[in-house]
Amino acid sequence: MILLSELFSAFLTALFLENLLFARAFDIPGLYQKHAPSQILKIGAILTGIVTVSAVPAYFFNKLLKEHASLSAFSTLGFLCINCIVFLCFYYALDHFFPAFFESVKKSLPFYGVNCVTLGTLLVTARMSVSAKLITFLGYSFGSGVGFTLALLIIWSIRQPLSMSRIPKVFRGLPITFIYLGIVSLALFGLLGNQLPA
Amino acid sequence: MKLAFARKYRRFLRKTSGIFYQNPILTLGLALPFAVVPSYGLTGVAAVSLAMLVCFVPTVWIASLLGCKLDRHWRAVLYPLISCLLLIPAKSLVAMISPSIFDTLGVYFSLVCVNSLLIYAVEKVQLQKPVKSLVFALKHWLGATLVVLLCGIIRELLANGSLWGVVLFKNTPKLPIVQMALGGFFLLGFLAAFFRFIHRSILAFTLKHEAAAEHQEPSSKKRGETLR
Amino acid sequence: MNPSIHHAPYIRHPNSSRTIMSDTFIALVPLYFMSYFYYGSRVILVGAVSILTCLLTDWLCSYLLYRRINLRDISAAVTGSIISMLVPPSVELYVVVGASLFAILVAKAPFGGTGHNIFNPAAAGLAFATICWNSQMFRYTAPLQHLPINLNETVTFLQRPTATLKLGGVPSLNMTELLLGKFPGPIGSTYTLILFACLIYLITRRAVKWYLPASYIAAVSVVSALHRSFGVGPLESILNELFSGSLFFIAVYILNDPVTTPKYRVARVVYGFCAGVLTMLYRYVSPFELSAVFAILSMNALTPAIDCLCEWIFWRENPSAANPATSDSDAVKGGQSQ
Repeated sequence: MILLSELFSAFLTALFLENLLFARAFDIPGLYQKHAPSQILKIGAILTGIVTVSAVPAYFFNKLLKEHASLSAFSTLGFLCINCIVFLCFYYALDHFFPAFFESVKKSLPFYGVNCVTLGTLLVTARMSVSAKLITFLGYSFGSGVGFTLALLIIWSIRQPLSMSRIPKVFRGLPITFIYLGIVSLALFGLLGNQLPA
Repeated sequence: MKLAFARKYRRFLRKTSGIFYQNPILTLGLALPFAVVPSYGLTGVAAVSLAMLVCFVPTVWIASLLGCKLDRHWRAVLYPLISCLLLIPAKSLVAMISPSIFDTLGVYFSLVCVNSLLIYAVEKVQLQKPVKSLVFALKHWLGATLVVLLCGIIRELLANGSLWGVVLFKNTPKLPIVQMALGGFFLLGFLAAFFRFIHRSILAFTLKHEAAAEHQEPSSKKRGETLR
Repeated sequence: MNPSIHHAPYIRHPNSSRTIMSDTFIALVPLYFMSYFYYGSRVILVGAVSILTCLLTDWLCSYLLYRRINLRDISAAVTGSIISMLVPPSVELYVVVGASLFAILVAKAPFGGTGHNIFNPAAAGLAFATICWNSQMFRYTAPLQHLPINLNETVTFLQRPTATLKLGGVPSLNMTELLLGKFPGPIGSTYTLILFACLIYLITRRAVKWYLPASYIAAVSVVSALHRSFGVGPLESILNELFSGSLFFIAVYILNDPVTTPKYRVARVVYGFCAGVLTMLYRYVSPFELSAVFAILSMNALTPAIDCLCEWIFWRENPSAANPATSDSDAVKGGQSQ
């Protein structure tokens, strides 16, 4: 029960409080491209899957890092290696078990496998939890993946009202998206208070 | 229509592609984490842009050397690993700026090796020659650095009234909100709008005497649309 | 025959942006009288400064964007008066000016001005002021104490009942005090009886649909009845949470902004309910007292998503039976913003 509640609180924290896009401004290549919702869900599923699976080796690597302080120079490299290996496993597993799904995402899969979101989530989890359990790692990673997917969906949903409204020409496209992200970030900072996310 | 001026402006844009025209941050929206969070002040800007210079430029050059010899998924793995290896010497360089720089930057310093600008540029230089790709990488690095530098100056002045930790204005009103992530988003939005406004007003200036030279109108209009 | 050319939706309806905005403005005026009675002439100054800043900035933005300055559009004045109602009476004037500037320059003008804003400008401005000048926004004075125009050392600052609620205590207020707003609080948002009268006026004038504030208040009541402190009855807990702060004012004026609410009736009920739950969540988690503003901002961000979800659920089943815009006033494009 305690484990479940920890999982849930970590999940919610990553989902709302420290949303990767709104509070930490992590991005993926092609963030502003026009995607259909089904494509966004596919991208989100890939990101969430990779992040969640790589949370397990990252947990043990983090433990190793805490024990041997001399390894800290290679922490980024280690997490990146974990991310890359998990991505390659994912790639071949998808190819082998779900060929239809693999064919539809084959071209874009490499861009969503290793990027700021996947590596950043691992680094953030490694930083924030001192006496963390594996379940917290899993919950946080899963929550951040889902949160990023939700953020992508919100950006998709805002596209139509923005294109239909009378936005000044200099603000169309990217600038208004930035301002939109800023105001959502302002609303989330009401929860966080006067502190910068590390 | 000021044809000579228009040609001059067009040549200028072509030469500065990546710096002013098609800026990686303001028009392409890449490398968002570095434009928003570490640009809280000049020290953060210096650290991130130095790390980008050490990591980003050689990786893009290596990418153009390798070309299309690798599969797409191996490329996606290899180039972040190379830039991550380059991050280790960059770390010792950046440590000279300020001892507490890694604490304030947090995870954003490590994220230099996988930023979306790198992933974009690595795919872009596949078919280019090495020297050209080096110029491409340097231009994009310079464009990103200029924007981040501008953000850093504005944010540090507004928040603390200081530059590089040296207090310049003591009695100005202070807005700590500018140093948060949301301040970065707002600033980027308004900067992008401002530079687009400048570009549009220059175009309007070149098209001012449109009525006098009507036969050139269609081509000029098309150019104005393709530019932005 | 009508020789003038207009854009497509030829909808004739007595409700327009101007009628709704002037109704809201009329409903805001009694609050000024009440606050003048409670706090003296300083509140009039605060209100005038914020309304003037909003109007001037709005006109300046229209001028810069080569748009015709519409003197009949008073939505900016409504934004300004809402901002001035939610700040404490002892606030410094630059806070009000900053909030008004942010509201118009960032939350309204870039999105296309009146009728096109995604976020409520007043909510955005207040959230900005809350984060920027935290200490200024939450120092309240006792009512029935006339404040000087220039604040000096004689003014004593008090804590407000919402802060007590946040800390887990129970504010000791009886029914009369709650209904008349005789406790330290923002300028114009503690007079529950007058707010009720204004709400009824707005509903009868069709500027507000009744189900939106109803679902919001229902959500707030459910959460506060479930999560009450020890030794407090559910009813008392609900009353304290609803009326001891600015929550009811926000439910009447900011929540019902016709531009930022969803289009469909079901979507509006869902919007109100989610906003209520989020408000209570923010009240328990966030370090600021003015929680409802942040909740409404984040719900505004989700408004198009809720609309899309409604369309997806209803239109996918059978496209003919979808319930499009229930009210006529929402169909009036070029609409309304508070």
